Amino acid sequence: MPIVHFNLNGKYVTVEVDGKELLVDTIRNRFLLTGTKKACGTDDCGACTVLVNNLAVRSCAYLTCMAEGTHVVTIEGLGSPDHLHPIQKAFIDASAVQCGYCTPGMIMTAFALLEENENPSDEEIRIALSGNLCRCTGYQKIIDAVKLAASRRMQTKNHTWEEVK
Amino acid sequence: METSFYHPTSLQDAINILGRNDNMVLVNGGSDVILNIVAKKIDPAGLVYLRDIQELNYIFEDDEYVHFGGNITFRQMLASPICQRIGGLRKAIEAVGSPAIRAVATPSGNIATAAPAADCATMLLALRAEVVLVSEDGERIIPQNEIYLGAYKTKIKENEIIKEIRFPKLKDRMGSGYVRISRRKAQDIAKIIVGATISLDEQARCNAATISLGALNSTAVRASSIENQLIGLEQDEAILYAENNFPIEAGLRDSYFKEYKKNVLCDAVAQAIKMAFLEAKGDK
Ligand SMILES: Cc1cc2nc3c(=O)[nH]c(=O)nc-3n(C[C@H](O)[C@H](O)[C@H](O)COP(=O)(O)OP(=O)(O)OC[C@H]3O[C@@H](n4cnc5c(N)ncnc54)[C@H](O)[C@@H]3O)c2cc1C
Ligand code: FES
Ligand code: FES
Repeated sequence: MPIVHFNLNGKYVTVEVDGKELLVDTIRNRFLLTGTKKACGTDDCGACTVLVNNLAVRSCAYLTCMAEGTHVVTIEGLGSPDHLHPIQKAFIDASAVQCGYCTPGMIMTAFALLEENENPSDEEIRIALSGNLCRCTGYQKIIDAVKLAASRRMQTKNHTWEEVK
Repeated sequence: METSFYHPTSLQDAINILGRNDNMVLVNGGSDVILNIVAKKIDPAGLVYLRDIQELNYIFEDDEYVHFGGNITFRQMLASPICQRIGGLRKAIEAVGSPAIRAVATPSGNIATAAPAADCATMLLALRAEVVLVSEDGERIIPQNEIYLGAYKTKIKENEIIKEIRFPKLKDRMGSGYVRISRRKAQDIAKIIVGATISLDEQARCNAATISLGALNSTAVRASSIENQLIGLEQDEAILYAENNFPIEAGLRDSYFKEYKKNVLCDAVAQAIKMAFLEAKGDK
């Protein structure tokens, strides 16, 4: 079986998987990182979004073998309950979480957007999140949360996440 | 069946892998093929991943053609000034799925899958694209309008790789247009897709046109019945003609949307033509 090497949330890992194995299954079942959700499993909802080399991709439509040599970041790599990432904090402060199932995918997608565009317009946020479905919030609070996170970072001296209190 | 996974880093390696092994499937962005694997529609002995082949990752134009390599993604195309200038192509690419799909998915996959409602492939048909295929047997070039055999079926052989897609450069006084009708703004399969190019003479009359239709037949098709009638017309005359003449090439298969498509298609064609005229006049 193929052996795959990649960096997962800052650590180099090696797994032996069938060529057909999905990245979402490797992350959840082998590394027990269950923050990444598998909802539709058909590339439609965005709940399984992770970063591969800083691009937001759907881990249910991405084979683990495709990740060879890449850097993969999941929601666990962004922050932890004790050290929330400012985007996670903004989602809580803006009440953008209800059942929470879509939230990891929303946050990973928002993170990728804010890496490319530090002060996106409403329209740009909506386009970036257009592949992420939420059945609970009605989306507006999610847009508000992304804007809140962006504005908090914009208020820091060097516009970095580390400086956001 | 256990499936092996290959990471060729050169086109020749990929060709050799396909030549020496049976039941190999190419993976580009994977947005179509992985769903087929998950749904157990295919069970390949091996997957051949094209993303690491640097020599397939290019976009450039010369005097004649715009060329893009076989593993260029939609995201890369949108970032390219060459594609940005071609409004119809830009709109068609922006319509594919969502940003996460466009980050990985490719026009090569869009053509090779041959879905009836393929956005980029329909626009490429209007741009008169050609597909450059390579295999152990050498290279051959097929015009895109000859590549389809039916829904999800093409003439691309199992051992062939799309090395390049290319289309004639849009000259001065040529413009492109694209219209898509769907229920949602993102991640929705189009109900109607229209691609268009218009070339103008010095008096701003059409002297050549292409119209392509998607989501109406089993494959994308050219609507030559309309194309031919636009010659000699000014913008308003061409729009009026399209509004009042149903393209005979539109198959309109029996479906829930048949009546809707019938009522809306002429307006969609007219809008695509208008966009192409405006782009040709430099009014983008
Ligand atoms: C949720 C969702 C939404 C979508 N929305 C749209 C949409 O709005 N519009 C649209 O047009 N499509 C849409 N698609 C379909 C898909 O994203 C496109 O068809 C895309 O262009 C496929 O490209 P890919 O690189 O991911 O192909 P892959 O899945 O990697 O490959 C598809 C097929 O093409 C073959 N192939 C790929 N590259 C080559 C090559 N270089 N040479 C030879 N064969 C090759 C593969 O073997 C496979 O058979 C959607 C898909 C999903 C899952
Ligand atoms: S679980 Fe991957 S897109 Fe829905
Ligand atoms: S919070 Fe429930 S799906 Fe978004």
